Amino acid sequence: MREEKDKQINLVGTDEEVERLLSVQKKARQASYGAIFVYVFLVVVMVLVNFFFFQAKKAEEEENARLKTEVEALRDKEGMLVTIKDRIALAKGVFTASGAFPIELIDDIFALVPQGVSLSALNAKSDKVVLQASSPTSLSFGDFLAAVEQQDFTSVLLNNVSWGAKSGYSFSLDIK
Amino acid sequence: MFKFSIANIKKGEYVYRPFLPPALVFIILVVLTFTLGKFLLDQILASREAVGALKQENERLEEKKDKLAKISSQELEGFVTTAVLAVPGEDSTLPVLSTVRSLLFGKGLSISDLDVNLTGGSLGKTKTVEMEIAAQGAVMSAFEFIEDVKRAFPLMRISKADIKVSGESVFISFTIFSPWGSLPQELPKVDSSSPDITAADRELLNQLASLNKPLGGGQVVPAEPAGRSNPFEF
Repeated sequence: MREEKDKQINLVGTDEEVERLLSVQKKARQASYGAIFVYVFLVVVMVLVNFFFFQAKKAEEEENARLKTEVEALRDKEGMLVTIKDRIALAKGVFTASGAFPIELIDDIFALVPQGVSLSALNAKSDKVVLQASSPTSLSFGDFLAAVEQQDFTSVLLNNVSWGAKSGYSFSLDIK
Repeated sequence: MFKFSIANIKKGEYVYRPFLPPALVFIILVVLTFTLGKFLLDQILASREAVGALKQENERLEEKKDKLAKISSQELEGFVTTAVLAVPGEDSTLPVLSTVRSLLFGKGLSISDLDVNLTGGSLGKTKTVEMEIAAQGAVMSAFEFIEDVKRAFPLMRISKADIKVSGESVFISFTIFSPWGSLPQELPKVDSSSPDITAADRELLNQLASLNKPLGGGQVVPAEPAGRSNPFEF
């Protein structure tokens, strides 16, 4: 019986061991308190930051609603702007159309026609002008050809030159 | 240092029981980190993003408001009138025909043939009215007509011409096209930026404004019926 009791008492351990155990327990407890404190602090900070952003968002939303109302009041002007831009885009298509009549080219050619040369026909399509003309003398015919060649046309092609005693020189030019 | 050895565990509850609360606290904190912490962090990030987006949108709206407020309504109305007269919002066959006819008559050219393509053509996405006209008259009148077409409402261009000179008169055959297209039906979103009228646009608008305005503001007024009001009545 006595031996049994001794065994039980021995299981408790030495004072030094118990003290060390208590110290570790205390440190663990302190660490857990510290962790709780830090955690609560972080949660509070996060809640505050969240609140700050919530308020900022609310203020921006109010500002957004006010601005939208003000812009809505000016929408008729925006509608006019949209219409203008749309029409401009369509008009630009006409000005830049590749198949447009080469009126400038015709103006340039007419400015070169010397005294004596008369046009009998003109066909204009896209970027090409085909003209038929006649000249009573070789001098005015030559002047016209020289003037045309001096210009910066892309290409000039002389076709069907004929001469008759009455009509003089008849010729056809393809100009691009 | 204290160690969790088998010998120590055998000492009973005294060894591990006091460690349970701190261990539980750590477990709870870890669980909370993945739930509450994540939730709060997500909220903060989402709010921050939303605030940033709203600030940008508000800047755009402020800019748009200032821009629209600065533009004169009268100037815009003038531009719209010019632009819509130049490029009508509906099929412009009749206004084109009316203008061409009055220009031809004005220059003393008589129409000998007229072919209007009612189905129209297209210039990219733009619909166009196309008509072939044959006329005859004085040489200079024909060229003046070609120049006048460039300066007439609605906007039109000669795409093809065949001119035959015979003495003082000229036989002219040409194809005219004029663009038209439905007017925009929808406005852009409130928060999207509004279109700008650039210097090039202004130049084009001024060019369009310098075109010769048609009589009646581009509207073709239908003629009064000339027949009897009731043809069944004798």
